[in-house]
Amino acid sequence: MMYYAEINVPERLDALLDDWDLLDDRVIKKLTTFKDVGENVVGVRRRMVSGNTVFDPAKGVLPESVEIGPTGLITQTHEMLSLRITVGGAPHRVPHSMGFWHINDVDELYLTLPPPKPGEPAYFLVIMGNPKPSSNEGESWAQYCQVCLTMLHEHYYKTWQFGMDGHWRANLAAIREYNGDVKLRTCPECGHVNPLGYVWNTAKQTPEETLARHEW
Amino acid sequence: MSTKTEPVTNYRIPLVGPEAPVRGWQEASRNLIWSARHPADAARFELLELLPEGVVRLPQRERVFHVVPAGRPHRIEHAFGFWRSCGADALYVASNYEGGVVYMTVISTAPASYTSDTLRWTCLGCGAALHELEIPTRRVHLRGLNERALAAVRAFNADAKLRTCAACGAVHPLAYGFEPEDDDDAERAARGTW
Repeated sequence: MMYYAEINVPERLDALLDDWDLLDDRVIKKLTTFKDVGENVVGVRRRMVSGNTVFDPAKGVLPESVEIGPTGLITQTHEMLSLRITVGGAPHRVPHSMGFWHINDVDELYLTLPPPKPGEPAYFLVIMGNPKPSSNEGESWAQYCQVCLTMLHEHYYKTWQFGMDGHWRANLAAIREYNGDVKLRTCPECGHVNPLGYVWNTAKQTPEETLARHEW
Repeated sequence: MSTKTEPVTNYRIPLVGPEAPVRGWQEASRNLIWSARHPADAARFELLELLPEGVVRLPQRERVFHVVPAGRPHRIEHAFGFWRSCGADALYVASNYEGGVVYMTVISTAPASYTSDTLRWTCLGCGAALHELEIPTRRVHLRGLNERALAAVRAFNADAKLRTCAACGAVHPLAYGFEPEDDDDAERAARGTW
């Protein structure tokens, strides 16, 4: 194989490589939720970031993320230009954004890039593997008792089989299933009645779930 | 006596600040990660890709997030001195920040299809293939990849015949490996030139 002189870019690059810059204004619009990009699933959110706090226009202030680790809850604050990896299998959530614990078989990576100018939204990148049909890798939306961390409910989704197309519907089904039965929300160990869950997408929430989003 | 350790469920990898390496590779869970940074007035790292049409140099922007598909030869100038074809997609990020420019590459080792990396050199004059070898990354992990890549670099550098193009006669400059701290004097000099 022969390779010759460099191609003049960027004029011809767009013709050679589709969507070569995922942060380009034209491309970023396709990534506001999640999109298959090669072997990965990628999301890019434009968010105002102040210090360690993220402001989501639909959800308000998101001060931290939480994970259930081997010895209990692990709270992480947001950091600009610091790559975070939630290892596959670790339950994790963002209070007021995710009214459930997400358990993904694949690693999830998060990175925030600075805004173009002070006062403008930063770039919040979410990257995770896109399970192949042969991998048997899926994900769950789970609920744990807020008092004693007993698992109350888990809705498993075969990502390797159905892909991201059914991801959001499955998320909604998980929440409605859990919210539809107070017995599921009542801890069998300590008796605590846990609040309603809510989905990631605010457009899909009921008035009761809106209240739950404010609560936890 | 056994030692009990808790599993690691999350990683925090600062790309800037006193905790961040100026440049280097690391393995975290099922990911190979390269990060680097330099002041705004220093020469930028640049990503190049080999396409059938020729060499493409990614344009410089304030920030860029680019995916090099699995199997496509690519290299980052001054970061590694050969074309690398990785068995998995390589995600490349570069961004300006208040201290200069920061870079990151992430390669997931999770896909079962990622078994190896191929390193190759092509003539800088005419593009003809000069030399290549395959490294079983899944088996040897990041450390083995670095070690074998450095050994391949030194074998390439030591053999003028390998570096001389049979088609046009041009002699390829010396190569260099993944980690600058492993460079000998000649490799260090080469890293600064191409």
